[in-house]
Amino acid sequence: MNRLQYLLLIPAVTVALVVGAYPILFSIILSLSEFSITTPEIQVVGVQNYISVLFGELAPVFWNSAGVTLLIVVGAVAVELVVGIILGLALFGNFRARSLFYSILVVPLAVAPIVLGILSSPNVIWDDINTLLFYGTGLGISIDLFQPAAFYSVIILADAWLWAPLIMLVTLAILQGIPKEHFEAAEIHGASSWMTFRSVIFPSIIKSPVLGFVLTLRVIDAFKSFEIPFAWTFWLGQNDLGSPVDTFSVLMWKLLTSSVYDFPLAAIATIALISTAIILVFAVFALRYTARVYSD
Amino acid sequence: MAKRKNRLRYLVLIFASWWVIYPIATSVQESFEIDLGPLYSGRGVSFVGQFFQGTGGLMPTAINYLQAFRIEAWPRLVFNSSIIALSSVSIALIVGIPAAYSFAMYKYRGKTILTIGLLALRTISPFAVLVPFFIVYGQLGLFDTFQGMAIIYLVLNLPIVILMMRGFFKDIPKEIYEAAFLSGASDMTIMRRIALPLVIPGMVAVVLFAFVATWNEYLYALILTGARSKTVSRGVWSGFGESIQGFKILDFDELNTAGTLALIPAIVIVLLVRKYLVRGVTLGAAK
Repeated sequence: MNRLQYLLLIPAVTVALVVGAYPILFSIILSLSEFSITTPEIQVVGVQNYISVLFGELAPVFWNSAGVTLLIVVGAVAVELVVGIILGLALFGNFRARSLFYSILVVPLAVAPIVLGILSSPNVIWDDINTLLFYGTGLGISIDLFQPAAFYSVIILADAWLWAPLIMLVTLAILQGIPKEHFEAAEIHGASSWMTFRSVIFPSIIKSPVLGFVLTLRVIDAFKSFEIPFAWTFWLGQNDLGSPVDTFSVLMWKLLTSSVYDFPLAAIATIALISTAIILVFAVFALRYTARVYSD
Repeated sequence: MAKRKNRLRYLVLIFASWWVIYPIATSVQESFEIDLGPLYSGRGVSFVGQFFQGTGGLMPTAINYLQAFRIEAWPRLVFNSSIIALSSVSIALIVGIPAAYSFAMYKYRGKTILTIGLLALRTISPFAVLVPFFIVYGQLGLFDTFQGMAIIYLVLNLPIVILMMRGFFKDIPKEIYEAAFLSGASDMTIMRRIALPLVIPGMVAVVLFAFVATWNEYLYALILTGARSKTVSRGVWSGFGESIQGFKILDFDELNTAGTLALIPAIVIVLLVRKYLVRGVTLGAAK
């Protein structure tokens, strides 16, 4: 009878091993092998792929991608955190049209990232904005989206557009979880709204394990981000490896589809494993949040 | 004081709403446009034939939608995406619900490790999954098939199902289980007859949420689908005609039509499940 809890896990664990552990093992073998169009048999040759990616032929594009990925992760998550918390605070409480605003602000969670890759392109929203800036204001200025500062900002803002509502929902859930007595106590003691914010609201948000957990998920997902930078490789015409919008995922996609290389699946598996290892090291720090969120 | 606070609140919310709506509205607007750019190159007011036109002005047309449905087989893409998403989510439910029940109801060693392992699925680079599946699917003949896509989307759907359903099982008051146990019901009976019927609303939310996640997924579809099982999100990018690989000029009006068509069901579903949305996006960590 007390084996039931383990029996119930068997189907899920089996599936997780097939779709998670098996590909990882396969990738590890692949990364230690020579495998491409010219050598279609998988031959284990040792760590030469890792040397090639980290120090050799592929090193420049790999480290370039590492930088691009880091920039997008840090930028996007920071913007999402700030915007999300502000929106969560704005939605907290009872006021007119609250559910209308709520419904509008959760819409981005339904939007496919690839759609946003199109929407944020120079030709869709930015040509309208630039037309307005150039002719509408009469100033004759426009935003040159081919400048790195401009396109990185747009990519980061696009990611924030998609995911700030997530932080907003989490903030709102945290705020609704604060016991009413805390607000009442603050009021009785004559605390101003700023003092209430500083001593009751802000600490509950910052110390929340759920927010920590969700931010961890965001960092993990942003680290794998593909669609928006992928779309921007087209808008910027950056077809070469090592372009300024090559995140890890975009780099691997280019290696997979480029006709210049002989289908370097072993090299792609190597890059995939190294990038997974980097994000796993980060995720280890998040484990304590994980344990708290799902404990009991 | 309170009034000023509310004014600030509305200012923030109105700006944020504009920020959310603007790109979507632009997309919808452009989906009803046809690119007349080549016909006039000057700026300001111009005439096309006898018709007055502002540069970049709106020329309402449903031609993009007609093209989507008649020529580019949009219904077929919707069918593909739906079949793939529903079968993947069904498999995830069948194997995931028992595990979720086990996570929610029992205390045992190794549970935390298993939960972390499940979350670690999320840290795997998509290409570490894609490359092996690409090779294996090629050998097994699963490349560009519904079965193949349903299997690979389990990477996405299994954690969603297990962790969300775990939360719904935990929401059932302990007293209900205790009463059933005292009446002599076995563990299996409690799960089947008592727990499962109570989590049906949650299950519907999980299905809808996982459906949207699969519907919106792009990268796996990009690499592992072809002509037969192409999904909606892939159709969105290729602007129907694989313009990028082919020789067609990238037509933003078409892209926006596809984007708008893909958005409609996703937005409807998200608004339907908005009560449970926070559970979905936080994998059941917040309520």
